Amino acid sequence: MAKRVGVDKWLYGVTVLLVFMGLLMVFSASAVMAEDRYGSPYFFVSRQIGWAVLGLVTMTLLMRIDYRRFNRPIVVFPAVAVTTLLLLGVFLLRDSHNTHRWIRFGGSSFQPSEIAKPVLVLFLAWFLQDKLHAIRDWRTTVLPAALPSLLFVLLIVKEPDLGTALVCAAVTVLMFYLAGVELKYLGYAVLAAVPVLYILLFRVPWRRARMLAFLNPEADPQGSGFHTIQSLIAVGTGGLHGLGFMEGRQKLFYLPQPHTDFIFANIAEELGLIGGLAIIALFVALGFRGLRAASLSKDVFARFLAFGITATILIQAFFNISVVLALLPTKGITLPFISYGGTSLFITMASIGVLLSLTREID
Amino acid sequence: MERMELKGKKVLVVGLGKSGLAAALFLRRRGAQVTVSDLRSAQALSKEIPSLLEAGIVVEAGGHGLLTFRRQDLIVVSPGVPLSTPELVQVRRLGLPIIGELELAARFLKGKVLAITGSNGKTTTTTLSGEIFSAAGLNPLVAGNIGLPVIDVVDQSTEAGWSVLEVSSFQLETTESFHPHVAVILNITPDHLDRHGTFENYVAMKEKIFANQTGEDYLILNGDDPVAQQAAGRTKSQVLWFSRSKIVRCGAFLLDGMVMFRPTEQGKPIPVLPLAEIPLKGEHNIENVLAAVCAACVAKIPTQTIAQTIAAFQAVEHRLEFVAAIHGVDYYNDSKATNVDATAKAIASFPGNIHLILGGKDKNSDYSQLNALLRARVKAVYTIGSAAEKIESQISGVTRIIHTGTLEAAVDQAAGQAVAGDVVLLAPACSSFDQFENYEQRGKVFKQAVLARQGAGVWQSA
Repeated sequence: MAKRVGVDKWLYGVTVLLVFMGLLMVFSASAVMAEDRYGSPYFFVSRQIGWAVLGLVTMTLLMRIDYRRFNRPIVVFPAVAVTTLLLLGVFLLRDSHNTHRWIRFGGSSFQPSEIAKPVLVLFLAWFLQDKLHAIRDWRTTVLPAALPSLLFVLLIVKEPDLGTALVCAAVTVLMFYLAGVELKYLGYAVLAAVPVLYILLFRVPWRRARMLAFLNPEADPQGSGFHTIQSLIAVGTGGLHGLGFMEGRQKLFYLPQPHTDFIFANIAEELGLIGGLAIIALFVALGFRGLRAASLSKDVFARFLAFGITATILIQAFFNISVVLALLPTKGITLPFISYGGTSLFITMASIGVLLSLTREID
Repeated sequence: MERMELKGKKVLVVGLGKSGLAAALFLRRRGAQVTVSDLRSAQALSKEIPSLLEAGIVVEAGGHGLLTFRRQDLIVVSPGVPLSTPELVQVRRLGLPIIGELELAARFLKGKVLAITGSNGKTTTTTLSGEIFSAAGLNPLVAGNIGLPVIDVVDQSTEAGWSVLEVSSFQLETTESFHPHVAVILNITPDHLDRHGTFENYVAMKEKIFANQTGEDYLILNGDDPVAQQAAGRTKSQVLWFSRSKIVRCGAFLLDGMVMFRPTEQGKPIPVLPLAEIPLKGEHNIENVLAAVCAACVAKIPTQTIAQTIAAFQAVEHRLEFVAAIHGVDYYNDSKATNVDATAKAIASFPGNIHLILGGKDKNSDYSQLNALLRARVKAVYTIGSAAEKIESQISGVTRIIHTGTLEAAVDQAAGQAVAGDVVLLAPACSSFDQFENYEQRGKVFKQAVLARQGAGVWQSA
């Protein structure tokens, strides 16, 4: 019965724990580099703490707001429109690292593609809730539902941020599957994506290099294979117990981006297999509580929302850790909650706030 | 509403259910020459026949005579009789007027009508609405599918009064001039498919509830039910919505743990009562409460009266009715769950650890629709009645299945398997007619079997 029984304390606890672990590891991974480049070991972690506090406040606020307030066209359409504009906006602005991922204002910057993920989940949950009876009708249901996803994915691929685009595509496919779209349509979509992916992966020179490096990192250990090899060295060095907090060596200018995309390698090196498994266990717990909320929720919108939010986080964690372990080619997906990156941390925590809000009515 | 002269008219009543009987006696009181015809034998009808004969009604039992249907001015059909009965098809071809008991009553009923239909939750919503209208001093006549035929309250109706009616799709099938001031469609899910044929037909049947409504009238629809939403485009009346998941343009919804009502699209939402004060168990009951709130607000009943009545409302017998707690096991009677959807809703009312009693007379249902819920929340299924084999084959492998045959054996087995914290639930997804007279009797047998165990429990612990 939809009585208010309080938020899911497990979910709340796991989230806070993940964020806390993230702050520790960001500090450990970035301190030396930050000292070297910016003159202060706290350069990265202080910024990350700022975002974490803001994220925690926002999460707690959203948790107290009835999620039904988002189940309105007056919320959904502006959200999709603003995200589209922001995604277009990045092309008009200065580029950083030869990419168009960030929008800057004042001293800070943020990444519109991070917003695209929850907005996509919100749109799909809102759109699909009333279409379940007509889910076989691709003209009125599947196609209009897929349009914003296609738009977002195209714009994000163009940034270029293939990793986030793939996350968006995967979440869309999973939500369609949950809605009961016939598997043959999902099959067509995957088939259609194969040639596009082939071109993106093998015809774009630097991605081609990454792909080849993934298949055989030793071919060019000082060049394109460097990431993968250094990451594996870090994970292997950690052994069972790890070298100890702050004791990692790979972050000392061997492993590129030890505080963002490859932070899990640093975790494995310093905290060992046990630490790595603990982080994975936290994600599994989060996934379990999220999917539980999705399956026990009373209305369709809440179910889609809970599933989408949980799936987005799990997919990213899965891809990120797989890249670190050289099971997938390097892609540029961050580890949710843990990796350095303000927008990602803030948006992920805000999504968890919405997820917590809808757990209030589950007993 | 269109009145009709009955004096001296020759009227045939087909089917002697509760409402058929009431209709025959009503027609006779109005001076018609009444004949009744029923397929059941004179013995089976021994209770009804004397009162009919006494009133001067001609009774035909044990089948419909061909000539009985000739030379009648009007034919009144009971809700239990399919319009595809050969005699009726033939008569319809001859152009004779065929109406149902509800239509007959509608032509004579005075005052405003609140009519409630839907696949599930009709009785609860009707009872609750009736109580709210009573608390507000409107003295409503509560009747319909709920047990008291509408025709029985016609004589008490006044121009200024309200009638609160539960109407089924069977009853709507034979209406022409039925015109409720406020119509509620709770939900539309496949049920009674064995009679209405296709789902679309069934939807069209339900939509007859607002066929005669005008811009002065109100139609209350379920914002979470996509099928009901299609109805909004086909009505002239003012539409109000109720929804558990959306903030509706106008109507009743949930927000921040409160039941809210927004009277118009421009209006501000008014808080009605906290969600926690709704005493009814089960998700679907929230919908029923929201629908009743809409209907009461349309009738300009103060929100305070609505809130107080809802908070004091008790569940209706056989609808997710709490029976007893024995050794920490809760027993619930949902004998009214005579279709798969109602059973799904009953299961969804509990978070898990359910021992579910399924079975009875099959209604061409697809029990595999329950599989996801069974897997997630049901520890074991106990099958009874003639549908047992079909159910077992359709849900096999999903959860533990124990074939028990009879309801009493099912209660025994379930009580033996259940541990503290579990729920034993009778929500059989089938009609009762193979082993019982009706669902009410099935519910009573269940309750007796449970309460007998309570006695045993006391005996054991003493």
